[in-house]
Parts: sequence; C-alpha cells; structure tokens
Amino acid sequence: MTSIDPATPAPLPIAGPPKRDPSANARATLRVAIIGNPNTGKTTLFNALTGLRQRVGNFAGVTVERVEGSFKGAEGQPVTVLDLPGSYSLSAGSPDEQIALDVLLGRDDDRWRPDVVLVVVDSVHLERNLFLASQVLELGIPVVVALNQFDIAQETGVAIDVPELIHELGVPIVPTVAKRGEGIEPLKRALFIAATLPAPQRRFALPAAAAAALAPLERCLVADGLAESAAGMEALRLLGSSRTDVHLANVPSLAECVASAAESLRSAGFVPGRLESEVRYGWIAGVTGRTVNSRVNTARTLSDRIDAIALHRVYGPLLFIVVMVLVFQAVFSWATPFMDAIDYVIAATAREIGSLLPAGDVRSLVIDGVFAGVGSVVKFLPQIAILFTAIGVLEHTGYMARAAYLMDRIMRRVGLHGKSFIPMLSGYACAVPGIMATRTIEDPKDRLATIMVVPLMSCSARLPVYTLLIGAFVPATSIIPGVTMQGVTMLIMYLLGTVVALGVAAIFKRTLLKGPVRPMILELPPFRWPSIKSLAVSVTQRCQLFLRRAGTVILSLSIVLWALKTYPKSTADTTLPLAQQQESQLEHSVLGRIGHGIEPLVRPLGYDWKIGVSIAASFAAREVFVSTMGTIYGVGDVSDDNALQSRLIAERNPVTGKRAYTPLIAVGLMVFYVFALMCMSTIAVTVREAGGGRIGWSWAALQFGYMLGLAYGAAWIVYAAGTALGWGG
Amino acid sequence: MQLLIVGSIVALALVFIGRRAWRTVVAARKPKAGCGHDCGCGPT
Repeated sequence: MTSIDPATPAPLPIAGPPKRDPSANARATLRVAIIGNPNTGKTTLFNALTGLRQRVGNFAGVTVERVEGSFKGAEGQPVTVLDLPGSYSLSAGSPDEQIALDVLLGRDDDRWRPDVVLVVVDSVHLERNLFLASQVLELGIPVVVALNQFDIAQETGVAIDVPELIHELGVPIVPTVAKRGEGIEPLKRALFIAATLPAPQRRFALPAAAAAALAPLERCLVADGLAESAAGMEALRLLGSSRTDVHLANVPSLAECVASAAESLRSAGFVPGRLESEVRYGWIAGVTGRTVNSRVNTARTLSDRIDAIALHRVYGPLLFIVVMVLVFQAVFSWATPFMDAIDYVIAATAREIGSLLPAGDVRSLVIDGVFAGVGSVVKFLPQIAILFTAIGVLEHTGYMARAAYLMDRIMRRVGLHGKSFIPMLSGYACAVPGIMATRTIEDPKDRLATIMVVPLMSCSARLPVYTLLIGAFVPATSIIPGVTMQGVTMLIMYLLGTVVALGVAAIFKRTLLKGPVRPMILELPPFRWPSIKSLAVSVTQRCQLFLRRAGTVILSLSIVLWALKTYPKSTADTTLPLAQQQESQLEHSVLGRIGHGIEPLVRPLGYDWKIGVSIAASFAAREVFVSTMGTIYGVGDVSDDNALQSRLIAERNPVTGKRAYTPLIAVGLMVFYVFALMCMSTIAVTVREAGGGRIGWSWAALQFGYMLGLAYGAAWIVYAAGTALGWGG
Repeated sequence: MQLLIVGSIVALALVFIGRRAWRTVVAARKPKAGCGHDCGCGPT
C-alpha cells in the first residue's frame, strides 16, 4: 500500500505581493470549487473533504450539477466546497461543462465565485489533465492541485517529481488517494495557504504576434465585465471554441472582437482555432518532460485481458446478457428469505398494535390503511438492495463504461449519441438523475431525444409492481440450473423498456429532432475492485430513499385511499360472511364509485375496477399500485408471507365466477407499467431540462402523452392477442 | 372521537400530498435546482 507523506506542501516559488483583497481572507467562509477531468475522483475527494456521500462511479459523467458541501479547518474556520461537473477543458461544449465555466468566471446565477479552485488531476494521465489545469491557472483565482490516484501512478511506474511540478505550476500541489482518505489533511491545509497567496498567472508566453492580435479582444472582454486576470484565458478559449454562439449570445459586440482577433491571427500566420491547444500542449509537454519519469509497464494488464473478452464483438454482448440475467435472477432468488422475514415482522407488529387499539375506524386506519399499504411496499426493500448492489458493482468496477462502448453501435444506428447510454443506464435507478445525466451530451437535439426516452427505462419504483405480479402469476420453473422463469420474465420487462426506448429515440431523431449522428469518444477506465465503503454507502442511500418514499408519499396516499374505501359506510347485512360485507362496503365507498367510473376505460385491457383505481392512484408514484391493492384487500395483519399475492390469485369475478386476475392480465399490466410515465418528479425535471417555460411543458406533455398512449396500446395488444390465442383463462 | 382522529390524520395526509405536488411544480420552474430529495442526486 502506498502512503502519502502528510507534510505541509513545499514552499512556493512565487514572488511579488499578494493580489487579493486582504479583506477576503477575513471573510467568515472560505469558498472552494473542485474541478477536474471526468473520472479523476473529484467526487470521492469531495466526499472525503466534506464527509458527504455524493454518488461516485468508475465512469465519466457521474456528477452533472453543482453540489455544495462544507467542512471546518483545523482552527474551526468554515469552508464551503462546490463539486463541479467533470470537464476536459473550459470550452463548455455541454450544459454540465457550462455550469463549471459559469462558476469559475463568476457568471453563475448565484454569483458564487470561489476563493480557491481545487484542480483534481489524475496522476496517471498528467499530460491530458494539465490542459484544464493550465486554463484554470489563468483565471485570477488562487489554485491548489490535487494529484489524485497517486498510488496507481506509482504502481504503474509513473514517478512525478512533486517539488519540481510545484515550481513549474506555481501553486500548492498535494498528492492524494481520495478513496482511502490519504492526503486529505495536507490538502485542507494547502487550501488555506493558497487563499493567502497571490493568484497564479499564465505559465507560458504567447508568440509576440499572437499576443498583439489578441490584445484588442482581451480589452473587449474586460469592457464586457470580465476580470482582467481572466481575459487572456477567455480570449484564447473563445478562439478555440466550436460553439461561440453559447458564449456570445448576450454580448453581440464581442462577436466582432472575436472575428477581428481571428483575422489578425490569420494574417500573422496562425490558425485561430488551433492556437490554444498548440501553445498549451507545447507548454505541457515541457512540464511533463521535466517532472514525470514514466516507466510504464507495457505488458498486458489484467484489465486489458478482461477487456479482450468484455469488448469482443461476439463475447462482449454475450457476457453482457449473461451478467444481466444473473442480476435479475439474483433479485428474485436472494431476496425471498429476507422478504418473508419482513412480511412476518410487519404482520406481527400489526397484530400487536391492533390488539392494543379498540375496534373501530382508528384501528382500521392503522391496520388496513397504514400497515396494509406501506407494509406491502416496504417488503420489497431486499430486492431494491440487491438490484442496487449489483448495479453498484458494475459501476464501480468500470463495467458500465464497457456496456456503453458495446451499446454505441446500436445507439448510432438509432441516431443517438453513444453518450446517451449512460443517462439511460441511470434511468434504471430513477429517471430523474437519468434525465439530469443528459447534461453531458453536447448536441441539444441528441440531449432532448435522450430526455424523451429515459423514463422508458424500468426504474426501481416499477420493481415492486413487477415482483408482485411475477411472484403471483409466473411459475418459478427452472429454465437452466439457477435461472428460473421468474428471473427471465423480469429481465424481459427491463429489456422491453430499453428496446422500445431505442425505437422511440430513432423516431424522434428522424422527425422532430432530426440531426447528424456524431461519433463518441469514450474514456475506458481500468477495471478496479469496487470500494466496499462506497458501495455500501450508495446501496444504503438507495434503501433510505425507498424507505423515505414509503414513509411519506406512500404512507399519505395509503391513508387517503383507506378513507376513500371506508366512507361512506354501507349498511351491509351483518349476518353475511365477513368477506361479503367487506366487498359490499368496497362497492359502496367513494373508492368503489371512482373505480366503477374508471372501469370502462380499463375494461378493454381486461382489468376490473380495483386495478383501474390502483393504476389511477399510482400516477402519483408507481409503487402506490401495490399499496393500493394492499389497502383494497386489507392485508395489514394477515400472517401469510405472500398475503397480497394469495388474494390476487384467489380473487374471483363476482359475475362470472372465473379468476379475476390471470397470467395474461398480469403480463398486460406489467407491460402497461413498463411504458406509462407515472412520476410527478420526472415530469417536473423534464420541464426544466427541456428548456423550462412553455417549451419545457410542451415537451413534458408530449412525453407523458406518447408514453401513456404506448402503455395503453401495448397492454391492449397483449390482452387482445392473448385472448384470441386462448391464453385468457 | 374516533372520527375526529381519523379526519385529522386524513387531512394531514392530504395537506402533505398537496404540498409535495406544489413543490414539484415549483421545482420545474427553477433552472438550476437539484432533482429533489427523493431521487438520490443531492447530498445526504
């Protein structure tokens, strides 16, 4: 194990008086912004500094928005830390990179300008990472550089002369291994030291003719309100940016300055678009030549050998399918004993509490409303934990980046950018972070097409619905040893959403969002052992979120649905059997009346009013389908491990006497849930990410409408075709 | 008495649902807001 010397960083070879306003040092809070290339461990470092638990992963694009945290210095000084999305440069091609640029240039809506910028660089790939660092050094803000993954650099034979690098960059540099918390204390001290130092300046000189050509543009930028210290960097950046429209939208006069500077550069024999990369990489080559001694072992590593299979044209997709089958089978097989245990505890607790309450409406509310509704959802906690452990392992090892690579060919065929696959994968957890993750996509049409299809990926809220129906109606028949029909059915539901998402994206890209298909450049991180701590944190977070939803939204809706099914009270004949009395009350209640009002809409799909009303309630949150069924059937204190499933299987149509729910209806219902958009948070985030205002609402309305149409149409086809083929019984 | 208790609990649940729905709509208007506290994007 490599350890890092926790000594204070070496003194800096910087001369001259401090440039910063001394009053800034006296300000109560030190503001630090963290920036770096994607997948350099910024968020791991952020978590180590602040003690927070932001999501991390072994692929680019995990952080897509600014996230704030804080810590206290050795003497109790407060520090606010802002984790910015990963960026290869400050060229701001995508919305997440724009967020980082706005903060660093002080253009952020909240006017949050950092006192110190912490640049996180990957020690193994110093040359590439120094491009962004060289831009940040010119912003007129004190900088600290964290040489992260220093242990991996040493293990792979990359020796960095840190004192010499400090001399070259003119800023404090601290080697760190963020995942083990090494170098964090020296880094905290370095941040305070940096805040007292003068801001660094450009470390190389432009050719005299280029500097003269850029001077008028720099004056334009300063006149436009940019800090003088940042004008040099911004002038170079604007000339190299492929999307100046984004930067110049609000400053029309600047366009003339840029055009004039470009013309002057051309006259002097330079290519304006290449100037920045040439001068920066020229300087970087000199710096790394003097500070890095690389004896990288070129022999094939274990990661390379795994990649030979994982990325193989034939074995790669096969391995992907095998991995997915195993994940979904594990969700079913491993969860069962834990689910049974939870069921037992919930039923026993309900009975215990029920025995303490007097008979009446309060007891009924607690048992038939709260325990039946929330309990029927909470029992799926083990499945959520297993699914997110599996997804976490795939993310942390780096396999997800390989999956994105494998999918690139398919993505391009449907007209989507390869980067769209990561947001779609995130959609398996929840559509909201999935839609947020589209910020890494530069092209607005590609981004919008991805936003429109991300909710088709089966999120964790659908899991209780699938599990309830599969558990009740799909036999656990073994297909091959260790793989059952139930696991495969679950996989089919997930695949169905994915395949249809790709089809819908292809339609959008050929109609409303027509545009060229761009190639994807994907950085494949080396395979790593997952950090047990990070994995445990992310799984715990997911479980907490699930329980929080159960304890808030689902609890509230269960209470309301209980009231709707309980009132007004019927005057049923008390001599009738209890089941008939309950049925009579249900029919007489507000819920029953609403259900019968909805029934004509869902009857063509083979559903009765109980399913209809459960679907209607689940437009607030999908899991509510399960809790509503639990409330309707009042399974709060029933000791049967699978009480709700047993009730669904036993339910008879009161008119025909046939089974009310059949495997065909269950499949149709699952297909409905694969496609329907039933999540208020997703609609809200689509509105915002699609542009907000009328445009945002229009896209959200289109998304909701097409998904509902798709859900209804597909469920009808399943039921109609199944009935025609005689599978309806 | 039982009806009063039940009525209060149901009213509280309705207020919670209404407030939650309103906050979701408001969040849609904020251009740089996070994704809310029930989707795993924000710090815990």
